[in-house]
Amino acid sequence: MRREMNKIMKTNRFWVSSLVLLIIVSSCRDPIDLKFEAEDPKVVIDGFITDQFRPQTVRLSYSSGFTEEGFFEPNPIENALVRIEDDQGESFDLTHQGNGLYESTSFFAEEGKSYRVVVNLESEEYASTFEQLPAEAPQNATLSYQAEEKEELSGNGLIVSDDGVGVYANIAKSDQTVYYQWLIQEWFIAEAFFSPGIFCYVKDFDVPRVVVLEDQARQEGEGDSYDFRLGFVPVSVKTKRDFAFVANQLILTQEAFEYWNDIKEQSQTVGSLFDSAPFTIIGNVFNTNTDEAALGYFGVYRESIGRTFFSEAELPYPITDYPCNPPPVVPNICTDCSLWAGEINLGFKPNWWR
Amino acid sequence: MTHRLLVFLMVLMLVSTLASAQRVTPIKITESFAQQPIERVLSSIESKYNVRVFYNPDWVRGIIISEQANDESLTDFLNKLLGNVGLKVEAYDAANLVVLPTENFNRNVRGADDTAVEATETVLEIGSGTGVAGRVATLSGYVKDGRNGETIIGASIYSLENEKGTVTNGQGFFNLEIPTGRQRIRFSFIGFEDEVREINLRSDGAINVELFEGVVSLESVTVTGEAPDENVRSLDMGVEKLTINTIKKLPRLLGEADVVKSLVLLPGITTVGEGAAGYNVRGGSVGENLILQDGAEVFNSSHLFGFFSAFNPDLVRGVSLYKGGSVPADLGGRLSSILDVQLREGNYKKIEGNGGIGLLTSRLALEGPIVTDKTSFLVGGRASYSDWILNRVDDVDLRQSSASFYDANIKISHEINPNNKIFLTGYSSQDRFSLASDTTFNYGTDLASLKWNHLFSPQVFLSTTATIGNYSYDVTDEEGLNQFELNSKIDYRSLESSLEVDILDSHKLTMGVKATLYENYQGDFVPAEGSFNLTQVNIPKEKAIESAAYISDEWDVSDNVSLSLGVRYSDWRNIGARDVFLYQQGVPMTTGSIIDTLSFEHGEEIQSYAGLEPRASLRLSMDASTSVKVSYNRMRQYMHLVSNTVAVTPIDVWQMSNYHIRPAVSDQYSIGLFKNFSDNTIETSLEYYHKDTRDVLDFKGGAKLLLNETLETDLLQGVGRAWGIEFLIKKKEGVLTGWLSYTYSRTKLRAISEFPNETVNQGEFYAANYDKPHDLTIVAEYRLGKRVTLNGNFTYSTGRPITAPTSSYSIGQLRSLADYSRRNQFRIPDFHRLDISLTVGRGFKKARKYKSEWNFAIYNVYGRRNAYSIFFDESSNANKLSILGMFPSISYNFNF
Repeated sequence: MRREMNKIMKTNRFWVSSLVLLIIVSSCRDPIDLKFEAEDPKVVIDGFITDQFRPQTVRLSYSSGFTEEGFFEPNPIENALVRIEDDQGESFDLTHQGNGLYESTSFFAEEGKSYRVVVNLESEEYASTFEQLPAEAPQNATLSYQAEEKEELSGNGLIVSDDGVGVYANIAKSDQTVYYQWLIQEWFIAEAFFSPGIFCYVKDFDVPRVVVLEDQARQEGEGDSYDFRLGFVPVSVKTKRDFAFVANQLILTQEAFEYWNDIKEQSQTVGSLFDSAPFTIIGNVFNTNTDEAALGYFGVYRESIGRTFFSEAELPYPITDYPCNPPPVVPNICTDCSLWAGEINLGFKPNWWR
Repeated sequence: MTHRLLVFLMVLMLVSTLASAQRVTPIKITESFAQQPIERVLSSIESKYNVRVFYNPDWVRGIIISEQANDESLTDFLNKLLGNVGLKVEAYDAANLVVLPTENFNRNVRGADDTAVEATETVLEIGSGTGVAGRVATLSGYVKDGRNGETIIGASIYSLENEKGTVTNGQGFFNLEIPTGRQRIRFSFIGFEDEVREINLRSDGAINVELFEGVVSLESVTVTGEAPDENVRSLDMGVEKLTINTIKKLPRLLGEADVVKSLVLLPGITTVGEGAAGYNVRGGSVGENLILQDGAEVFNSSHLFGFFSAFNPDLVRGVSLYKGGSVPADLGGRLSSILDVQLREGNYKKIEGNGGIGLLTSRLALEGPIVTDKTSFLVGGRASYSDWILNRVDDVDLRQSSASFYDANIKISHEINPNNKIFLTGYSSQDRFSLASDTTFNYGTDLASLKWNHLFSPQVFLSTTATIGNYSYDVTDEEGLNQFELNSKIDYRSLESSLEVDILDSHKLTMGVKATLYENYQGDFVPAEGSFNLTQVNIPKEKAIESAAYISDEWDVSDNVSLSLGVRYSDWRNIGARDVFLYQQGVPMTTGSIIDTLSFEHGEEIQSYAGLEPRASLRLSMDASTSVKVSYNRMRQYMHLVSNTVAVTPIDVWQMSNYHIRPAVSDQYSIGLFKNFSDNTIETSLEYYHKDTRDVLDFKGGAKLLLNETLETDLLQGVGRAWGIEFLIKKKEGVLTGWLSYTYSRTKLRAISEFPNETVNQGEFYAANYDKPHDLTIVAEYRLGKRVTLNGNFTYSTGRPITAPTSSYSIGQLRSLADYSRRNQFRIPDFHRLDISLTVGRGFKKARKYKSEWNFAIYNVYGRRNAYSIFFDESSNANKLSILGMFPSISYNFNF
């Protein structure tokens, strides 16, 4: 429905001569010089700990104003002292890893304990509320995929379809409502056209998305489980060899789910007349001196990792090679797979790869 | 009539030149006339004795006489008859008699100056007995339009000697308690010539009066539909009354007079933007206005998103908007205002038609007698043809779009006998628009009502109305991947009976009962077969009965003090069949916190609410032209409109009070000073109001209102606080007329949840969406000639509050997400606009059969692109959406 509405409202930029009218449609949009910028940046505390023994991380940054062009400039906080406290007096320091990322590998979230994050930044102290692991639930992530076509309405009103792969999480039905979130990574194998046989393992840039699901108690429908679509990967040179769809499946508390669901809704707002009013999303972190809310959320979650791999051989779609001209003088991705852009580019096969 | 007058003048010339020397054989007559209009007496004499009597009908219109002749000469009898009125008769020859004024006759009285008071008339004896001095009796009757027999609502009846007055009620009936004895009673109504009758009231009795339109209609139009000093004298405060004449004089957008847009020019009434549906009254949301068309509830007052209102201007007699200050106890059901749109009755005497042709719409109405003076009909319709403009536009999306509406009314009025009258009305309207051809929106209203007015006695009046109605919308997508159909509907049936009793001295009692059954289908969403990724949603029907009983008394304590006291008791029962979800305590209400479901049988009571709504107002007259009024009003609202979009849309959701949602309650206190200057030609008023509301529906951040099976989880019930000062100065006479109104008002809301994250703006009061502190309107009409008027209006208001992104941040896997300010923390730029229009009329002479006028209007003369909405693109740059620039229009209206 919302999508329909948005589509309806995406008309524009014109100016019907003197006999104008038609309302929404014939209205005009002009940029307007209005600045509503906040005077001071806000502190953003974004992180969670899980019941798994793995690096527990919290990312700190300041919110930014808008540049002339409206681009977002990241503004990491690198001088804070960050620790996780539990309700039994224990405390774990997180150390700065660069770029505002703070990490500890010395603990994991335990059953029955409550945790909070405490951040000391200059003379201010920020903390979250105490959070606990959500109730136990069927949690081992199992992923599956299937070849499918995704049809979309293109800008000129034509329906275009993409060949690709839909990836699904299998959700076991439960007697209680379970809240899921998936943090998705996409990995692929890069091979330089002129250096065949040498492979790089590349983690692609994150698709900006929030994937959450409220699995209601005693979900209706047949069977003991159902599939929930996590994402769609269009076929490309990246799916020629093994493509890894990795989902960190988190089980959230209801509050955490509400928070991430709000974030998701807000990120999809396009600003039409039919859109619901935007709003301030308040998480569970605040300034302990002033009680003023900071941005972000600190969560304590159950975690499991699901992976699925696929390649051209397993799909009904033939893939055309990346067009490479005869090797130029300057090294590029046609000659060197380590030049493929991505968040991570490994020259070796990760141990979890199939 | 012109014809008759000409003959008369010719004859008069003849008479004066030939002199009255001729002797004529006298005709002897024996007759008895009791309580008959002079005109009828003369015409019966004409036919019986085969004579012609030439006279100016204006001189004798409406005069009732009783006279006897016993073998008298005709001229003697007529002189006796007419002598009382200051007229005499001269015989031109045996068969032709001419009525002439004597020196006692005041020839300026009629037709020329409709405000002057006529002094000389036949004294009409009313009642029996001797009329002991100091006693009080009731004078009652109907006031009708002499041209078509239609009753006149709001006509004023005023005893000049006793300085007491009243106005006719919704049925054109009045009831006035005055001391017995000789006195002059003035009957007046906007656009009509005053009628002054001299009566000798002996005991309770009746008088029915017909008023006639002014000779040149344009001259007699004034800004108000009331007696000149009605504003000071009546108990009303916080009430705006407009006649259709006033509405038609305002500059028109798209060529058509508009009821709702005219109201917005009055103090205390605003909209969130041009072209927005609905209106806001004294800090109330759009859904807090009850809209009645001939007593039937209308859920959507606009066509084409508010560019046209739902009411056909040719059929409207007048509108009253009660701004919650002193709402009569017989009206209720919404917190902020009651808009009462009254439709005309069809002409009882002859077939008439009128209509108009504009750029986008045309209208036609026909009316006339089915049985002369007994039964009349009125039918009217409007249709738009806006698509031709869209199709000319050089834009693919627009060419594939369409927008249109129609509406149709019918009203049949039948007088069974003088004590019983019935009215049957029907209304149907439909809007349809589709954008880029794939999604079509339809919405429409259907209403039918039957009303029976019964007079037990002049003092006891019963009115009973049965109504059925519905408002429905559907959205369909018949192309593309995701085809679906969405249907939603509200059905209602209501029955109301109201009794006006006027048997006690200086008290006027009104009492009644009303019951309405509502059925609300919030939405059925049905994906078409093969639709991709869409699931069916059916929101179960909700049902409730709203009933009310009320009693009120208007009490004239003394000449200077009057008091209106009323109380309404309203009751709401939400009934099954329906399932109600129960939520876990102590955690936020979400679909996930449902712990149980209660099932209710068909007709079983789910939840009920009831309460008293006291209403009181007091008027204190300081002197003849000054009064102070204070009032207190409580209103309860059980049906809520929920909207979290910038403007109210036709597909917004109505939510009943139910297991989880409580009714909203408002208390309004107001005080006003009313003063007239220059012989009531300049009116001023200053009113202050304070309104507290509780349990108004607010929504949580990110609420989804459409197709939400558990809507209660997205709603909060908060409190509202509104106050304002309204100033109005009105010039009612002269070449330049008009008004200036200025309002300073604030409207704040607060919505607190037990869970801080759901609380809006940390529990502080915040400005409502429609909080526009400064609101200035100037309306002027300048008469360039008898048939040419220039109108203009200027409005200025503070920009509406908005929620804006103040910074952005990265969170989770999102690289940049806007961080929005607190709700409604900022404002869009101020709004101002000037409209002008020129109306050129033809044939406004009373007698001309075909009248017409051209209207040329320019909306938004200086083309300011007022921001309708500010929205933010992906990089949070502000963009302004403006709806209309300068827009000229032309329309042609006619009447035959």
